[in-house]
Amino acid sequence: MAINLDEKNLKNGLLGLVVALVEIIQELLERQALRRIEGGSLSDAEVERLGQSLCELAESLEKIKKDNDIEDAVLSVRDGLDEAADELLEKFINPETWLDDREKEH
Amino acid sequence: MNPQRDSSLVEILDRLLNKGAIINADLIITVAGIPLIGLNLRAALASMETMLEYGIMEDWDKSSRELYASQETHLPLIPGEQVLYKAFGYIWQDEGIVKSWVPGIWNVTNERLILWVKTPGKAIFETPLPSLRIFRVPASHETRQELELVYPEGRARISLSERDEFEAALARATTETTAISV
Repeated sequence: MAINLDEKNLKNGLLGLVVALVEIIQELLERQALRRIEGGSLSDAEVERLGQSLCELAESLEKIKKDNDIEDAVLSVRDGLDEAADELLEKFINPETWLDDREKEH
Repeated sequence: MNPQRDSSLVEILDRLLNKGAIINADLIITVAGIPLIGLNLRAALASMETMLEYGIMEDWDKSSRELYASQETHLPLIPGEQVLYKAFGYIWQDEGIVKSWVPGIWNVTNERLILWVKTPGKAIFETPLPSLRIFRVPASHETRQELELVYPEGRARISLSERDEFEAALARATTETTAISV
């Protein structure tokens, strides 16, 4: 997997990488929050607070992306990571592809 | 907002957390056949909901939620007072050794203007609305907008990112106050 960082604009490339990682964590937290809420152990006030905080996090991430004009950079990093995750999953589901890969190398 | 896209990485991580993972590892690092460093790892990673299902970290979950609830403070209001507008902002403090912008939540009520700090829960600044006057001043920071407050006890420099809305809310609150007092 290659993550393309624009050499001329290393700052934006790096920021894009960081924001992409934070975005993944944020989406993961959102899913887990939903699961906790559905679990039913949280009080109404806690649900409200949790929702509010996650909304604020999502909004500020969008703002950071817009302000620094790194939407494309973030998208390309995330596509790269998703592709890598897909490949990994594919290998776990079909272990025989490992053999094919080895044969190709030889 | 953009439509939610399906990210396979997030999906995988989410499933991993929902299921939970246990790592048990023993490791010895040797040099020339002599064991030098030992590592004995027992780790469990799972979403809190899964942890609770297995009865792990129940007490911790409970106590950390209670701790937050006990720390949460609310703005003390006079009977009949209502918060009309809230915005994040700063006040310039130059008393003492450190001169700095102190952050908090600006609350415009129908009686007062208050800068409230949630933890530890205190009002850094408060003044009754009727005698308050505000002036626009040039900002010292590129992304901030500053205002100067003049009130009976003195002056204060404050800063907000939504200055126009703040001014409008103050104007509305002040007219409401005078309308009630008349």
